[in-house]
Amino acid sequence: MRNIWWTFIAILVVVLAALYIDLPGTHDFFGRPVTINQGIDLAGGARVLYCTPKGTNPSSGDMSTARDVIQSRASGGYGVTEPQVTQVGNNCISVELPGVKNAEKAISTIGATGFLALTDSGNTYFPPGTKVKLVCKVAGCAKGYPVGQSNLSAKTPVMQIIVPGTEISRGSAQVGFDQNNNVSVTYNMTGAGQTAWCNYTTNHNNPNPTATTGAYSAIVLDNQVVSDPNVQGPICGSNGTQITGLTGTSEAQKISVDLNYGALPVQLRPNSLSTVAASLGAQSVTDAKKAGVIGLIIVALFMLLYYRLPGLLADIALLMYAAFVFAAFKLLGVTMTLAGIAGFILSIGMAVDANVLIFERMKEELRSGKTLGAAVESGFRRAWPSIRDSNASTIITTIILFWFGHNFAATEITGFATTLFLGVVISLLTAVFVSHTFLRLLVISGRWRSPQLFGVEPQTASPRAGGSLA
Amino acid sequence: MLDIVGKRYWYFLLSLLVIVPGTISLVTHGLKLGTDFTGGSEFTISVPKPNQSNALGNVVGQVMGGTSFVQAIVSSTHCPSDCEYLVRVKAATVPQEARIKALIKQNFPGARGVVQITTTSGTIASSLTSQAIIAVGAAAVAILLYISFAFRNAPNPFRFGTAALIAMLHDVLVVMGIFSILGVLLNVEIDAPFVTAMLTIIGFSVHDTIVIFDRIRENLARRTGEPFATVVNHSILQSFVRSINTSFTVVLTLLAVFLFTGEAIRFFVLAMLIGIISGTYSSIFNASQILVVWHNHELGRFFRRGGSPEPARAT
Repeated sequence: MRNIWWTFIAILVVVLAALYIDLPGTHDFFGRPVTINQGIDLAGGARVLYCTPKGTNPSSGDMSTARDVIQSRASGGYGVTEPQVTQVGNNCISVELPGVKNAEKAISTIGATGFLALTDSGNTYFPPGTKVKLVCKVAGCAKGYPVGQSNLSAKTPVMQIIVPGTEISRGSAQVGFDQNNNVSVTYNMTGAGQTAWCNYTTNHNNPNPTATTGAYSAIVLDNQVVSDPNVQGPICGSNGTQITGLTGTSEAQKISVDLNYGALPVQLRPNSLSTVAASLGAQSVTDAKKAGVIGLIIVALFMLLYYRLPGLLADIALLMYAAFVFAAFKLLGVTMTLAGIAGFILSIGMAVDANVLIFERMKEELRSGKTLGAAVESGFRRAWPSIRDSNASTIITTIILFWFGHNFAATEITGFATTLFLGVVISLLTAVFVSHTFLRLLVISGRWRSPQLFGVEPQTASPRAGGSLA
Repeated sequence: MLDIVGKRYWYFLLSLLVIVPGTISLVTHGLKLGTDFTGGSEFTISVPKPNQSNALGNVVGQVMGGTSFVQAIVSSTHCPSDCEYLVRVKAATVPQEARIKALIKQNFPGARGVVQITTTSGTIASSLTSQAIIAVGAAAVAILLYISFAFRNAPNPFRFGTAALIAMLHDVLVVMGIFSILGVLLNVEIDAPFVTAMLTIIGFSVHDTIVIFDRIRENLARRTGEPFATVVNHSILQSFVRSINTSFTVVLTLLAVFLFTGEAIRFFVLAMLIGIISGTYSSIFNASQILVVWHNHELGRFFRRGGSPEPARAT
């Protein structure tokens, strides 16, 4: 019987660990980040599924680059702390922006193809934000690189593309400091880009930055000037190009992000989108919490009234179950949605099932005259195959559900499947380890043996005669 | 001993009484498909006034250049201070959505305005439909295979699988039928979460059936010599309390969700409630009874005699 005490201690340790993880202030467990992400139906915000136009067949490399670009765009500037960007199928990208303020703007900006280019801006300086029109004369530029937008006003300056954004080495742009300790941005180009850039800067440069006229090369993103540096000398070879004379670190950071992630390699269109107001989400959270607590209380009361002493044990197991599941959600970083909460509450009802099966079996064994110890063991053994087989069918459906939801990036479906799956698996483990151990401890404690405490009426006494606690 | 098995044709009759009207509605009206399946945009708009359907329809129609389907949400709990309306239109673009939002703010000062927008393109919608069918089919096949495997030591494992599958189909038909009728009466539409509910119901229905089948399997091995119907009857009685208690707890928790959470998942939970009640019924009164019918080859006899079936022998 010493084994049982070890199991009991192990359970206590796991419970304490789970409770620690459950604490609202816990964000880290042995180096592992612990969080619950709220889906947009709870936090408010927007969800967009961007897909490439019908008939296009983007390469997987392009799609994963697009994913990275979108991730970085979504993380910056929309007040979104945890954007979730995932590739769906082979031509779609799903973006969740919980808590986003200006959903319309975010959706169109994040999904914009974004065309980045280093241009010849002639002898005039253009401040950042100036709208311009691009033309393209570089070899290779005409095919595949769109040129400008046509709805700009006639007064729009026209600039020629020298190096299209695709020739800038992705991720190479870095914020640093120049020799005068002023903030700067450096970046690299690919071979073709280097050649074009070398040709241009050799022919167009003005080493005097204070001169009113000179050779400028504007960095243009989506027909807007990001920065218009003055070319101070030929820039050839593989050395990084450096942009200096910036107003500050924030400008430098913006430029480096634009250089790194300016352009999407594929065209994306919003294929489905949903936005939820934060007020609606907050209300949903309150409602769901209330429903969860009420559900838990009702089930606990029912178990206590119907199964008495074992019901009380089951209730303790149920509370532990709730603590375990919540800890698992936090450990795995599950995204909670309304449907996910429903799945969790549903799994409370199902978690009780394993206990009900065991207790009903135990009652049968007790009625047939077995001792409590024998009834616990055989009740458990006999209930096990049906617990196992019945839960297997639920697990199979949750896996199929997850697959189904995943195909659409439907977080309400994957969230439900995940919470129900975790709920079922953890309820199995709780029934096997926690309820079973409690019952065994009850047996070896040698007290509370009256069958009435287990909901079994004694054969001889009248049904309502009081039972003894001895 | 209580004879449950003997009245099996009454249970089948009761099932038919529920299923037939629903199926007729399914055939004649089908299910009302939401924008998840058809494509389009759905706006949930909150204004502090009742009976604003027409006004809201006009505002949205103004931007979308056409009439739209507008409905006040019946169960909107905070009306009249906060009445919610559902407006459905063809798929709106992002700028159109922004304009609608602004117009609502302008026409209904102080309102919460557009609280939710869901837009689904036609391509996604059509693939959702096919994938939903695949998912439900895959779940059915996987479960049939699993039961045939889990019951491989029982006599006729395939019968157990098929009976469970028929009971499952029963539950699917009950829920789809009721939602078809709800669609006709209350304009209730089905969406992607509805498919989720269906799959969960499938899982639960089989979950429940397996517990009873497990008893039958166990008793068949221990009670050799007794008639099949008696063994089944005995098994049902033994697992009856458990079936009811489990379903009862699940129904209680679902009721809590149904009553206390808002509009967003109300019909999702309702579908599950109906499915779980039906699932409990079908496990006891359909799946197990089908085993008896099959074992006694009653279907052939039933048609030959054209009359009431022979009552099961029960002790």
